[in-house]
Amino acid sequence: MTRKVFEEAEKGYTPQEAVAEAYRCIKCQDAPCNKGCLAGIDVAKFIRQIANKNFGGAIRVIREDNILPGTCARICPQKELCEGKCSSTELAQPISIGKLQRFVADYEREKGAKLLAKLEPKNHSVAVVGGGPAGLSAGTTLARLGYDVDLFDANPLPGGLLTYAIPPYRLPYEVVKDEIEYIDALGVRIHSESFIEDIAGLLDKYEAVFVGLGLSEGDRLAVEGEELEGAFQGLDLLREIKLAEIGNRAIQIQLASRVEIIGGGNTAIDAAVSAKRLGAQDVMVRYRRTEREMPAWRGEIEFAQKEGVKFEFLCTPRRFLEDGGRLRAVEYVRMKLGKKDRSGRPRPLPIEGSEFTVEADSVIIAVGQTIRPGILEGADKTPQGAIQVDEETMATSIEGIYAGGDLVNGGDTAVRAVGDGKRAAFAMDEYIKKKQKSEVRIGSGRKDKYA
Amino acid sequence: MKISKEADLSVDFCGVKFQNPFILSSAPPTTTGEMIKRAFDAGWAGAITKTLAREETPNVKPRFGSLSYPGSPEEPKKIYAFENIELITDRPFSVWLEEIEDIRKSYPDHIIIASLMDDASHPEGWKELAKKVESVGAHMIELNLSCPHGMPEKGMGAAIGQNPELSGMVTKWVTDVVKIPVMTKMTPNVADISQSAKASVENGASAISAINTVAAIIGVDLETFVPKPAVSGYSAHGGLSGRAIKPVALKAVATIGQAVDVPISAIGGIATWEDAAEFILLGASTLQLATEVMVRGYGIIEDLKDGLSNYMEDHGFASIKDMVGVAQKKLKALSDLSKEYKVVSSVDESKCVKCDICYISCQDAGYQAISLREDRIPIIDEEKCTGCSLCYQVCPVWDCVAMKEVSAG
Repeated sequence: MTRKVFEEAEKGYTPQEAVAEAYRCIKCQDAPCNKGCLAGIDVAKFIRQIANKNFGGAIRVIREDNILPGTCARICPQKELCEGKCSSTELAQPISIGKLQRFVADYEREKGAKLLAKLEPKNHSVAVVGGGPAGLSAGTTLARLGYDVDLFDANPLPGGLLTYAIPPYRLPYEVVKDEIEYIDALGVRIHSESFIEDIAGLLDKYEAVFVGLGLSEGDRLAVEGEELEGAFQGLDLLREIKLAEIGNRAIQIQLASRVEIIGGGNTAIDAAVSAKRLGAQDVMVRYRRTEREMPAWRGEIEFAQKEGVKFEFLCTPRRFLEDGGRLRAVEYVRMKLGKKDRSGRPRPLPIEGSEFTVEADSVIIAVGQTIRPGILEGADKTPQGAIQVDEETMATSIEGIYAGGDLVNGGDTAVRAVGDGKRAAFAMDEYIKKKQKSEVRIGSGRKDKYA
Repeated sequence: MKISKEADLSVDFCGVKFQNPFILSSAPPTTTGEMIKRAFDAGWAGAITKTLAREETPNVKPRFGSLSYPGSPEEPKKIYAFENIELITDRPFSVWLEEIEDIRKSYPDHIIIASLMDDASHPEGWKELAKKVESVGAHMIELNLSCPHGMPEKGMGAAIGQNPELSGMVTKWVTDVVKIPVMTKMTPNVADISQSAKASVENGASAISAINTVAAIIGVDLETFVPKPAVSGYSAHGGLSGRAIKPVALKAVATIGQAVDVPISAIGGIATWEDAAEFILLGASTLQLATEVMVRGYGIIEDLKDGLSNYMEDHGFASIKDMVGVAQKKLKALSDLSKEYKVVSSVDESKCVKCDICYISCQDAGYQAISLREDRIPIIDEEKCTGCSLCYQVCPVWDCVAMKEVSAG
């Protein structure tokens, strides 16, 4: 059964299929697809290259702006980004941009990659903290700009949630591994198992620092019985699946045949589909608002439905019931939607007296993720608790420290993190150049008349 | 992994240095100097003006027709053949002289070539045009001896190019009075395209460009009975261009390459870097485009350069020069091809969609070597199969029928 979780769900294009799909592109002058890419890829150009069978050129155009081409091709919600803007939608259906990108990324993995160009060494050092998409993108861009880059990551392997959370049926670890090898070859020095306690302290040794630490901690529900045996964090289940994939071993978490999933984001969906693919008979996702407010992407929800995952809305757990220290059932309460809250979505309110109990041996909690406590304590935060940055430069309120990815946007796509990292790298380059200029002095600096 | 090096696309073409082999041919994309400048900004290495003459020539309206694949919501229409009855420039020669001079000054690294036309009874006309464009700085001259419509009836264009003697004579008039290289543009509407090319070279031409458009009528309107394009109830034949004429042009370039010893500028159906590579391999060292630019704009230059440079890198060609004519050496007289080399067809059952198309073709136009099994999978009788490859050509599925070698000959 576990094979279903490790096997990639979607098949890639053959060269003929890719050329035929690219040929379908009507090649609009204003290329709305380009405006839909958060990493700034010249989408129209790489589609033309594929139509002209210039596969090597296509992957280089993509990688120029997105250092994780095979990864984002697989996990981007393209329907909400580039494909959502495609003019061919009016004719028949949008060009399958994600699948085309995946095709050339896979083609390159098979044929061997050519390294992107780099500028002359600048002999200045910068540090990157966090090896997820934002950090990898910032690090790569800085290395290409000529900087010595030290990237620190707390985990045994870099990649962040790409390595430790995205289930293999969506993103095989091998893909991420190859992309990291490429980044390594571009000269980013990756230091694994390197937890940085004092981020601001890095400024003593480095000209500037980028922080892309993401949201590594799963939120708790704070209800009675949450620690019972049989209740897991969604991130813990996904991490175990990835560790089993990477280590080529069996998954050690045993799920019951009935699994309750609590939450409405992509982690909840990934956990639900994984549970199903691991062999659970009944998998029920329960979310406290309605389908319309679910933060998970439309395409992922539809995929989960196809896989047989069921959904129930407007309910939330009140407590977890035990039987000899082990989870036995969940007591839920029904909800109704109230006025809009700070997130702009209607606030769910419990309907007193509507409690109901569901027998369950396994419960997976995936109700949101947060910043690890204590990160960048001196930096300004948004009202939602994310790190506050300048939108253009990704600079935090601490001079010389930049940040991007989920840490600043509260949880979004990998491709947005890639875009953040790239933008921050260019801003850091400007910052360092300016700083160097102001540090260069001509003459002794003496102001007396004999100087 | 290694740091990639961009292949060098620059090329020396009869002493003139082009940054890359891609040139806009004398056609609607070079209607004005301003347009040529925009093309240079986009990355084109050179441009040939619309054909200049002593007097401007007014045009009829409309003057284009085209053939497309049928088109459907899934597969939007794509033009594969294009016809025009447009004539040479409709702008004054004096204005063009100013524009050429201006382009020379503002684009020192790009190549501007003047296309010229007169009739075969006006040596002074040819000489004056040539001397004037040279005096304002044109890098080269291209003699239009090949326009197939409108101009021949006035003794110009193809009326000259179809006659080797006149071609040689006109070339000499021009090469006698200018120092810059002169290239002559050939018409495919002849029995042997190498004759006029040879005559030009013998009279001082430094390069040959081929082909001009193929004389054609693109279609007839079945309701009005007027051939296309209709101009006030009547039409005239025009010149065909686009992907459809590429095979004609490939043959012309190969034939000219075997007959003369000057560089060739290929024209005719070049739309992608693959087309460009084929022409270079058959002997061309620069490439001229128009129809694809009319359909897609100057921006296609980016794909052309990138695709060609990747191809060169992948195949170990350090420069265009190394590539020129490599495939020309693989052309022989048909009677010299091996009779011992044998192939037979084979079918990949897993890909077959059981459409019978190969079976019918082999029955009605082949050697009846294909029979159908009960489940409609075609079975090849290798004894009867003569290896013609008709089944391979007609099969609608990619990689389903293959021709396998049975004797290397």
